[in-house]
Amino acid sequence: MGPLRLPALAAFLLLTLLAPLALNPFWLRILTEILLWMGLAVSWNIIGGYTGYLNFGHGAFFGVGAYVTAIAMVHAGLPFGAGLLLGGCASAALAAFIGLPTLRLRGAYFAIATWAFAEMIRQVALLLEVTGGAFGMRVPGLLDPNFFYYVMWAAVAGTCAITYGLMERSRMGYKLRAIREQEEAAETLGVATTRLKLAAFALSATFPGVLGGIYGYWTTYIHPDSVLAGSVTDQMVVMVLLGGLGTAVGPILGAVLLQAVSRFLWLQTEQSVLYIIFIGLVICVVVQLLPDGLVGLWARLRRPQREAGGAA
Amino acid sequence: MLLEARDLVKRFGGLTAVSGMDLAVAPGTIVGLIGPNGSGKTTLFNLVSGLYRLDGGTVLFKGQDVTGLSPHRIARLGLGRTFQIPALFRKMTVEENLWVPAIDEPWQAVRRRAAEWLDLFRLTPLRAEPAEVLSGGQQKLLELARALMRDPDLLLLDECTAGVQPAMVAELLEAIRRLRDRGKAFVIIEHNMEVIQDLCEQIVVMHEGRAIARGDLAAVKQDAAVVEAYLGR
Amino acid sequence: MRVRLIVEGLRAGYGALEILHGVSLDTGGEAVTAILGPNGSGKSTLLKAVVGVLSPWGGSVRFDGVDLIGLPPHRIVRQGVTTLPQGGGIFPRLTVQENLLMGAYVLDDGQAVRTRLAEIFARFPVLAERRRQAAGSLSGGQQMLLAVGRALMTRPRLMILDEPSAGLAPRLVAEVFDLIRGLAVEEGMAFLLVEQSVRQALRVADRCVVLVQGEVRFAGGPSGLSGEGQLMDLYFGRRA
Repeated sequence: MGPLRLPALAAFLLLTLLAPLALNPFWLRILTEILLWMGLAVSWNIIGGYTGYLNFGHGAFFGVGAYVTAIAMVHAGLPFGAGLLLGGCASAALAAFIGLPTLRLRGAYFAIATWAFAEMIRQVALLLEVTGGAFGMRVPGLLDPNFFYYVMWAAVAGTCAITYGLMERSRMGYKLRAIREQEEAAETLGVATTRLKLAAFALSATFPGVLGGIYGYWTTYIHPDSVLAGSVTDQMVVMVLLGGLGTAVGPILGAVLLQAVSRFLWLQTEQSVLYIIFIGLVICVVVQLLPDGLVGLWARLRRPQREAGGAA
Repeated sequence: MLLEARDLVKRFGGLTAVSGMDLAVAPGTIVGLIGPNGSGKTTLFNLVSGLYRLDGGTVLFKGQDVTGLSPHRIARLGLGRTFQIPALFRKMTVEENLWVPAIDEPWQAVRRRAAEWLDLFRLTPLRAEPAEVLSGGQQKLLELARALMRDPDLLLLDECTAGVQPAMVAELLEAIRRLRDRGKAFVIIEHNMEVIQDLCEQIVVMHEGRAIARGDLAAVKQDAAVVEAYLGR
Repeated sequence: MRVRLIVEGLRAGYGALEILHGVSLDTGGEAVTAILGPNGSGKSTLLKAVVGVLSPWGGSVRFDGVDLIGLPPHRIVRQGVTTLPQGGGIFPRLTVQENLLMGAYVLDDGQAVRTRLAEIFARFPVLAERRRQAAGSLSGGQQMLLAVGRALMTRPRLMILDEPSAGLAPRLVAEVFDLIRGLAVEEGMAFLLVEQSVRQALRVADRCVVLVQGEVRFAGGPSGLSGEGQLMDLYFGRRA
């Protein structure tokens, strides 16, 4: 939160906007993917970071957004924009519906319940006719170079990050952090915890819903094992934990780092197994050595200096 | 009566923690709640503040039936409480802890009121520190200040002097008395009998989930049932 | 003369909260020392600090001349101090015999363990009868005997008990205290116990310590207490 924050943010935004002009399609595509993951990781942090409820089914909202958008376009003949809107709304509504029973659970029980919910959604998508079942679904795409998607994802990821940032000093943000720290005390101090948790959950689900809708439009083919795979959630979670849970910058940092490593390893070996091993290592390191992620490490490295300065 | 709890019952599995407990509190009074370990004092607080669901009985607050209401609704009617082990928002700063309960009010007013309480409890120098760095006694004070931010009419205090510096205890008691004189009511669970003696007009002794004696300290000390509750059979 | 436990100026607490503000006590080679006091006075905290479950913040604990502070709990057991937690802490799914053997886990000599087991069974025939039965199926009183038997496996010189009467029917409470008195005399052991059931504890105690608000307010023989009125004065304050 130093004085450098605003200029740094402005520079970051400017670079992001100018990047497509300078990059060739290959690099633009990699950057586009990074933006997708940034949006997902930051959205996970809205519920996980503010309230401490770790959602291990967040990927389901991504898949539901992708499917609802695709179905709206293919079966109802709606334009992409309308489909996207429906995808985001469907994710939010589903989150409110799922949240009502599961947000009463705490800790590992909430994580398990959301994980089971995501698996259920995947099974349903495999069974239904409207989703194409195990055959997956073709989506009419926009055969544009990556520029369109780059802009779309930058917009959604940016909105998500700004939402997260604005919440930090908002009334809702204070109440949600109070819930994370001591839910019972918050409740006895007049905070309507259930309603707030539901709102935060629905908000955090909206972004992956929209991102999923764009993803289907981008890849032109979606399948339960791609957009509803458990690995979608796993990556978001690891990105946030690596960067720093409950921090504004952490998920962005985590998304950039992990996605960059993922693409690098893929280019070197054309196999995804190395990346999975890498993710495993990251989990071990974070759990053992970096409980507050890279942002926490940064703060820890800086603190001795600051304290010495403060004492003088 | 500000609070009227009638015939409260709470069971945990086969254990009846509170069985047929009555408690009435008038505005502007301080009631002391004492009793041996496991007699149900904290459970009673959890029932009245709505954290536990009642297995029997009714709670009237300001004449309104609040039985079964969620804790935040009861809090908004003007009931505040503290916890035996301070339930602070540990990673939030001291002043943020105070802002949370009043956060829907205008910012300026919230900040001003928080600053006043911080001043009274000598926490102002620590206002930007995370609450977890406070000493045990300071945590108790901060929790009380936080409960006062909503300006409640009734406060349930669970061992509010535990760990507080003796000099600060005197000021804390003075603050409670001043609030009482302004019409606020308190129920305090307290192990320090000097505090009970200093503050309370009425003492209720709990044992095995019900009230076994009521009166002033000298009277309940003589009571045969109280002696047996404390010294065993 | 029995072993002697001397605690001096012990300070301890949880988190930022100090519970014991410099507690001193001396069992003085007596058989049974009872720690009394109202709830919240720090009795259980005192026991935890003595046996090393809780690290004291200051002060000293000497047992038979050995400084116990800083020793891990299993080393304290080897010194001859054994603890009986509230409710006995038996393993309900293990058999009676297995429970007793668990009490001997710090002993390395198999022959000595077998000898001791036989002695325990001889002393508590009801346990011998039920040696293959799951401990959880015993009655409350028998479970208490089992817990005491298990604690005796290491031939302790000092047994520390946290509220031995908790959860027992009044008739059994008297029996437990009689058993403590008997063991003290027959085995030459010392006992340090915390007890809410003051009348029972005073019946068998040679020495008592009254703890109020984390400070010792009385120490001496039960005869030094002038009746229950004084105890209530100590608990409730004299001014009331």
